Amino acid sequence: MISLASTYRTLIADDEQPARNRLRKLLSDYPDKIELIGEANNGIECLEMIDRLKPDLLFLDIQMPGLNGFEVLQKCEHSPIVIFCTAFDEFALKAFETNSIDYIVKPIKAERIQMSIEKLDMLRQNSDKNDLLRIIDNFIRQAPRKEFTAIPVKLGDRMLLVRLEDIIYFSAEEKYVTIHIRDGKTYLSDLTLKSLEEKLAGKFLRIQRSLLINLNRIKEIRKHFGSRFVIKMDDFSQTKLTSGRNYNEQIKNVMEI
Amino acid sequence: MRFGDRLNFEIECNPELFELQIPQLLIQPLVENAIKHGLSKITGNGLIKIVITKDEKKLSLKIYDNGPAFPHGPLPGYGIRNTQERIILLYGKNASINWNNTPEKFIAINLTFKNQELF
Repeated sequence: MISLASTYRTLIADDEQPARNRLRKLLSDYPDKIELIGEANNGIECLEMIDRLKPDLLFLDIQMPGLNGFEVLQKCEHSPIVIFCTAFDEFALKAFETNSIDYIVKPIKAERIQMSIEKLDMLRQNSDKNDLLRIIDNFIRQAPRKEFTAIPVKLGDRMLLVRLEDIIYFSAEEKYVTIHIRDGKTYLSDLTLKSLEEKLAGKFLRIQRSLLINLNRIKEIRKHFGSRFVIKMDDFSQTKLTSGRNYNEQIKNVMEI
Repeated sequence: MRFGDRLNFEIECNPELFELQIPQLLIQPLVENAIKHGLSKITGNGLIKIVITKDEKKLSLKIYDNGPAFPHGPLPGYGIRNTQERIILLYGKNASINWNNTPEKFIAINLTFKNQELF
């Protein structure tokens, strides 16, 4: 079959030389379809090359230094057909079940490239930048957050990593946050309660202005007068903490009470 | 392999320490972190430097990289955490970890000892 389309002027973006070499070699099997016009080895270079060379087709790695693949697409003015080449997990790939782009999981196999090349003409027809940006937006929102596991504490010239599961609660007094451990030990931290609350959302709950408690270390909750609760913690001394009036709703929601 | 020319490394270690034994894979997670969170995040050439020094009181294993600074706040992952737990199990209070962002970014394992007896 003779294709009516001319060759696709193609750009490869990947920060790993071996990955670029492999892709280049695989693409060289399609000289009538693919004309390689450049290779970018980081996100910043890629962005510059997209807008300068205006490729028809872009093989794009997601994890790159400088700018990642998504950021490149959000910033570039020219919009080529995009084929992601990624080592990303399956969860992420669900986002790309669409006609405007294609994705290939590394390491790239010759048969998979062949499929992409065969799909190219269809991708060209359906290529829509807005569609793509919407998918990226969606993906970024759904991307799993980093799972924090420990808090570093400075003790003189050494650092101690305190495991989150050992922390019963954080309390704030003026500028400092105190970390309370199960066995009654305490450590001072220069982090703020607010930043801890944001980063540890889902694991820890603010129950009053100066207290952030570990949701997995609650032993008992009792109603107290004035829309408050007394929360008994699961530490050695069974610490009782009283919640703040203004946190009533938030506590009820999280505890489902 | 993955990083080609971008991965440069230096190991500084006095030859008299060559025979010294440390637990297997003790610094591996820290070097892995230096690549994963350091070198892989920068566009230029990466440099990982391992510096091992020993004086009368202390053995110090430092891993430098030229990537972005260690974050301030909670840390994800298990690399440093497991390393800390291992050295405390093995050496108790004689072991510690510390890290710095300025003037140079490094993370260090320090093992102090009395009478050169620890190893």
